[in-house]
Amino acid sequence: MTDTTANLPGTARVLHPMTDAVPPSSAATQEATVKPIATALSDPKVSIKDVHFHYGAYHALKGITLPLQDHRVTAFIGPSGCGKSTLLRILNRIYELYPNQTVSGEVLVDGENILASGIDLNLLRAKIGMVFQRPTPFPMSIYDNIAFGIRLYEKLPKSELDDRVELALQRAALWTEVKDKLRQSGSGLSGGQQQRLCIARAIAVKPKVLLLDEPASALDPISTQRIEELIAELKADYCIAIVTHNMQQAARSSDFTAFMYLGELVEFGETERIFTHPKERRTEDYITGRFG
Amino acid sequence: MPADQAIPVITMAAPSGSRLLRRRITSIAGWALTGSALALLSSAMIWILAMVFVRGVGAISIDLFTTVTQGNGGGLLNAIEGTVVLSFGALLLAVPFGLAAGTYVSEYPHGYWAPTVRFLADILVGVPSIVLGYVGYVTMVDWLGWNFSVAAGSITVAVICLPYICRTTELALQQVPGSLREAAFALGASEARVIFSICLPAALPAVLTGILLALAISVGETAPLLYTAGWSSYMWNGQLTHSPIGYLTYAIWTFINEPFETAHRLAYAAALLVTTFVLIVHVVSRFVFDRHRQ
Amino acid sequence: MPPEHIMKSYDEELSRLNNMIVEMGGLAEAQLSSAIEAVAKRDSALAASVVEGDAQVDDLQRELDNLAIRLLALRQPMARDLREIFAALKIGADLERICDYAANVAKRSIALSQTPPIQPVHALPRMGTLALALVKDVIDAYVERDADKALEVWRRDEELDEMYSSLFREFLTYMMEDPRNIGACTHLLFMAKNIERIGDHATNIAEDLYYLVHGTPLTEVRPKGDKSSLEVVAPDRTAR
Repeated sequence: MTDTTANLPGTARVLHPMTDAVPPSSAATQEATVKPIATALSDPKVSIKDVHFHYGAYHALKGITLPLQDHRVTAFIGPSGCGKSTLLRILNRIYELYPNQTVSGEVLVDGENILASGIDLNLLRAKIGMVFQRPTPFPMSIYDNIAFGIRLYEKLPKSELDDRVELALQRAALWTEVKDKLRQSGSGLSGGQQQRLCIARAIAVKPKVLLLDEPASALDPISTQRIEELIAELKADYCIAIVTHNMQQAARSSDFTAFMYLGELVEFGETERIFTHPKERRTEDYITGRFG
Repeated sequence: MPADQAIPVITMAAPSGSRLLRRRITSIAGWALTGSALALLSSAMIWILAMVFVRGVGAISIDLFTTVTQGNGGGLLNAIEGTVVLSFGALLLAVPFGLAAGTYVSEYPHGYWAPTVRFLADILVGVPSIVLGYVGYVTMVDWLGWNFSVAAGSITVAVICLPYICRTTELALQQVPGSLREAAFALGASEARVIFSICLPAALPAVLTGILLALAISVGETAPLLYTAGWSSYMWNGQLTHSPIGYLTYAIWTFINEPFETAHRLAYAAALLVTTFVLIVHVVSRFVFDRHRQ
Repeated sequence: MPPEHIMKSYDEELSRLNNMIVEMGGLAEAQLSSAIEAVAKRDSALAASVVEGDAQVDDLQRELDNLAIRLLALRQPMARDLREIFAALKIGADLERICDYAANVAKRSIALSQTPPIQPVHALPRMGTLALALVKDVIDAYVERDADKALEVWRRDEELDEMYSSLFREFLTYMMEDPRNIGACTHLLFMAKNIERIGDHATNIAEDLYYLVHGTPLTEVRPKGDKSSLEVVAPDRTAR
């Protein structure tokens, strides 16, 4: 399909700005109108199926279906208000702290639907860890911060607890910086360190899935890179989902990317493909900075 | 100035003459007002403190702390002990209930009783303490037959302190960021855990400040205790009911009216003690709050 | 029409990139056209001007590369923007090579025009015109971002290759008939090879354009009509 308003062949060529690029050929256009169905590599760790979410009367999420693979990072990108954080907060049901919020659909974690009634919410949240945008160290010592989650569900002798705390801090690349001040308050650390503390706290309880809600957006660039490096190391052990408004971060850190817009899942696929040749026009427009 | 309006340029030059003058006048007027308000309040406070101090310090002696009141003279030992006992008893009752009420209202704002509790606390704060004393007299001293007693006195003062502690606890907990709570829930903590291990410790400085302020209030109460605790010139005999007790504010109130110099001295001494104690409480609470705030 | 970037300067820079390619394309056409004319008319002055003009194309390509690098560093381009810049880099390089070959042809035509004219010379401008059409069409396809047109050019190169094969045979035969022609024919052979290479670069441009538009590389195997590498011409004992 040629855009014939451009130069006709055989005549003198006129320089004109690249504003009317030709739409992709017919095959690609037809694909674009079909709702993207995410394909599974193998059995996904988390399977989100037709999830709808309402804040009161507002329909915030519309039929989201996609897999989260184990040992992989899945990034959620999209403009503000598209529902990516909302979706993340469904995965550990933390939305239930607030009234007037309802969800429908299924979320299967290792085959079990976590949205079913009768699920022990506290136990669920211990298995699905979350790290928030702003670092939130508890008002206690660094040691107690990490041990807090462990002590909730396990009764361990001190030596074992010490080991678990050390291990968590090492995995979070924080051990060498804090090993001499474990008894000091967590609030005395820098922003980047506090965030790594929160990550250590989340992984200390050995969750199955790790949810990161814009973990680096409150941090400076160097701390951000450290966090990204940490995520790259952690994915060997966890299924990680990360919400980010920084597209380059999503491109750098993730294996799969989901683009959401106005509560819908517009496109999902391997990060490399999404950022080199996305199928959906809306995805392309967003990642090239044509809207958002 | 037409020139200024024609060219929208931000100039770093000093403002023009009349504008500058206007600003200076406004500034001076503002400083004058605030300065005079400060002077007024400070001088009032200094005047009170100075008078209490000057008159009371003359009455301070070892005797004050070793002998009980004897008629129109003697010491203040029984009054001091009585104030301590009554305040301690009041806090013993008010702190648990106040903390619990404040926590409930803060953590469960949509709970069934929350609006009611908050409303009642607001009303209670506004009730004059003498009225509460009267109610205490009618119910406990008379109807229940306890007579003037520690129990009646403590309970009445507890009721006065309760809404303050409830309110300050609620405010303190509201200052704890929601993200902290979410982080705790996200680890799988139960509500109780979140409140007791995270929220209350985080709010502790403010909660303590509230309790100390309630203590200051209880030490300074006069009217309700007059109706419920009576007066005793003897040390406390350990009985909670059927036995009145002395307290410092009674000494201030009664002895100043006596025509005896010794009585006056006791009154001033008691006033000094109470004022000093309240001052110390305020200073300590400020210290507690600042030290815990990172 | 896709919406513009939120950053207007980004659109302007991408426009500039596009315009540079178009300008280089125009220059390539002009250079090739003049070179062919120089051969046909034995015009040494024209040929010399073609050789001189090659420097301008080199400068333009350097400028293009700089702009592309700048865009990569400063804009973190994604998806189509990234493919545009990548394609511009490669197409710029191909166009620069095309101009080099055109200049080579012109240079050799100077030498050729100093020898007496021989019959097979006429075949060359025919080949050149075909190559010129390929270049022109592929640049048109670029301007329109038309991958189908690019594919068409891509296939037409086969014709150019076949022409080169037959010219190769013809020159060999001519040389064998009369050794005095070897000098001129050798020049002609090189020139024909250059023109054939121009065609190959035009197909490179077509492949880059296809990738730009579709996001996946062209995986068909290009039909190669150039069998000259397998060519053996036995001496014709009967001719004389």
